[in-house]
Amino acid sequence: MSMAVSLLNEVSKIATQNSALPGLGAIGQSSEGSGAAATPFGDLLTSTMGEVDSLERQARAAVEGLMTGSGVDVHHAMIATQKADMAFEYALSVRNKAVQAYQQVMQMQF
Amino acid sequence: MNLFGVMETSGSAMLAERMRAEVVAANMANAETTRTEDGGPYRRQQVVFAADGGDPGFLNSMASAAGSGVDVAPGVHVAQVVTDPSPPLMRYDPGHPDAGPDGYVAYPDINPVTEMVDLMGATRAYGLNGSAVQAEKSMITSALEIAKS
Repeated sequence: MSMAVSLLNEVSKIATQNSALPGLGAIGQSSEGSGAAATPFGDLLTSTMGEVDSLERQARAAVEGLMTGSGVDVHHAMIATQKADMAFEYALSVRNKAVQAYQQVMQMQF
Repeated sequence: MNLFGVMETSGSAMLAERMRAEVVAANMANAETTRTEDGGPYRRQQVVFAADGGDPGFLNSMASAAGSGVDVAPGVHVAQVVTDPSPPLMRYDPGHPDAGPDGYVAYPDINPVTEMVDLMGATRAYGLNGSAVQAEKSMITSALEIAKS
């Protein structure tokens, strides 16, 4: 989950520095002030999606196992679904923030 | 310690408590059992819990060596199911098919009260760990609230 933490750092950096959104393609790469973080935001977002997807797969497998009675415990299935739910909520709020920042940049008057 | 550390730990505890309740249920079910595959009456069984973390695993070792991981939250697992060595109860019942030549039948030494208390303990501990999962969930939810609006 350290990837997720750096993702949050990236988002807050975008919010505070008012820099361009790297990886979204509309404005181009931001090179100034990014320091050591070289991973584009889009890549981070993609790998977050991969993680959310794998958690959802686990939840699905657990619930299916519970339904078919293949020895999965109830609490295991419930915890798996809650994990998937939390991860999805998290990814959704990161996405919402990114879109919000993008829209604010696009509404700038010149 | 990762995002879902508490959930993993509490989940392992819930699994262990379920196994404890299962063993207690087996004891109660076999409280009057005089025949087993090994011969003799049923022997009361007990679970032994052990904390995880004897072997932290490769990923956790790497994380702690790199300084990014502090202590991993130790879960729990059922180390073994032991058999109670106490001798069987001898009850005089000469009509019973398993009665010995002296007319005594060996019954398991199982006290239903002890088993009920153990079952209550397992149930409460299961609920306790369920509450811990709930608390973790609400903690994550309130962290997510920061990003809202």
